[in-house]
Amino acid sequence: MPLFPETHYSIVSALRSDDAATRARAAEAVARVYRDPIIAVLRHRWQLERADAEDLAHDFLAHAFERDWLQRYDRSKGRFRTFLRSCLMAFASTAHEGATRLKRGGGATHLSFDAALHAPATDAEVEAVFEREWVRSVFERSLEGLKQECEAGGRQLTYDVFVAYDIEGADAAERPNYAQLASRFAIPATQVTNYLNWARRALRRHVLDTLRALTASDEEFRDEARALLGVEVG
Amino acid sequence: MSLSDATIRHLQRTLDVPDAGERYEVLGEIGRGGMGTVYRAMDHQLGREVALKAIAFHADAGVTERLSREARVLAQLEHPGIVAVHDVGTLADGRPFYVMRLVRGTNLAQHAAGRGRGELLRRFLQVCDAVAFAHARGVIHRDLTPRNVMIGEFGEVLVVDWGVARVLGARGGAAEDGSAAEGGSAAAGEGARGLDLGIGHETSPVAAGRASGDALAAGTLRTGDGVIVGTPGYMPPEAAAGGARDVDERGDVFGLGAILRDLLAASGAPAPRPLAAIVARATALLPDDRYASAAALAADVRRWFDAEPVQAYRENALERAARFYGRNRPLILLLLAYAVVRVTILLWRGV
Repeated sequence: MPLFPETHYSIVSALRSDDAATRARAAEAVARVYRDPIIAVLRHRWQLERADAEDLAHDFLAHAFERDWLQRYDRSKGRFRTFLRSCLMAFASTAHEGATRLKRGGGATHLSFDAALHAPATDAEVEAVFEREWVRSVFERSLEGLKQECEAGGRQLTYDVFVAYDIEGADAAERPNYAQLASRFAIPATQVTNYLNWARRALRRHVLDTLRALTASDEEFRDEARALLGVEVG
Repeated sequence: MSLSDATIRHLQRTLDVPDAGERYEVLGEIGRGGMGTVYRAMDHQLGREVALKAIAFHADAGVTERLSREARVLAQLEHPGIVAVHDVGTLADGRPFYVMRLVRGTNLAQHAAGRGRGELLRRFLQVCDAVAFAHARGVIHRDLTPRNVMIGEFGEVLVVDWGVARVLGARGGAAEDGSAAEGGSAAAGEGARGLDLGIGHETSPVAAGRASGDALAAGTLRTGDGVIVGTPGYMPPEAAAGGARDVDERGDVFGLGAILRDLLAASGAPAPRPLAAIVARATALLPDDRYASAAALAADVRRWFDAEPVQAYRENALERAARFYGRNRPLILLLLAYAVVRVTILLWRGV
């Protein structure tokens, strides 16, 4: 099942739907895209262990959906992503205070925020981490969509060539050239070009669909698209 | 699949490279602005390098229209001083693009540094000629700056970036306006210069109108009344006041005057009063106080070149005599020499 059912489907709008099933589907989609950025922020800001950060991220998302926090998003006040991050920071701060109180009172807590006291991250750092991981998440979800599309459309070879050149190749000390890929996949070199062009166009479509689904207005969509492709990661 | 930072950087770059079909292979990026990006590309059909301009894929319909309109404007302007459009088309993802000559060179701002006044004035006159040609075809550039003038490898002068140009209709009638694209995005200033390859850079029009600060920050070009189109320091007061649609040929005259001012400053020497007066008239606050056209401005500069009185400056008797001397120096010196010889002969005979 594709992450986003319709091209112009907006998760942000769906979160306010009267239909419970629609809201649940939107919540699931938000969780899928934002889970990793949330965990990254929790780990960076409060120096949490991965397992603790995952637990807290789960708690946060559960609270956010159960208590309809995200429905209160007002598009006139900024990006949904920024709003979500603000909610997260408030939630995690409260959790941090609670953990501290328990500790002072001698009670046990399953979360350790101790490290955060020694090296608190600045707001700018937290924002940068969240942005970077959000970009990564969007690309990963989009790549997932591309993979599903290729599998469903009998284009597995196209996907494999794309991964070999544009994904694995980007990390390789020496990116394979078209001739090497042609030899490896037993296809003409011209076909490598065709496959790459097709896959890049399709991935771009998935990225834009993902962004469109994650935004509440055309203006926000354009801003996000510009940010995604205008700001380098890392 | 977990993606590394390096992979994401690669994908960010890759996804923005246009797929212009088999004929054009994109070789690299020349410049980028709010309206779109210009690429160096190989035209495999004709075996030559070209500049390919495409809008950003996330741009709205207004920007799409602006790019198409710019191509149409350029197609009307076949002149050695205006870059030629070779082809228009649609990318595989539906974005429009156009292909134009690839100019290798520098912009006039870079070119001017350390050059003599005479050479810079000759370049300036070439700019005026190109603009006058456009005016004759009813096209107002509206963003003339030294950065929007390219000097090619062989000294050719090209006025570029007609993205905010205005096409005048019948006098008093409808006009096709570069700012008319609702919600269009203007080019976003710095970092969008085709410094090495010349053509294809984005200009830096401030396009804010009486819009919000957000719109200004985003380089959003608002439409209709209240539009500001141009570059600070080069845009006429009537444009800065938000009346972009009121800008006519005299608005471009203002931009040319500002360019002339810069060129005179770049030459290092103090500008002669007649040239300073030409600048002052070209950049007058009120359009009615300026030259009526780029051709009229150029004619006055040419008068100065030819040591004739310029319209913009009323010279005194001494200056008139000095100019007369400068223009007729060989003849005057010859006459003086003759007079000296005659006087000497008369004196010798008298002795």
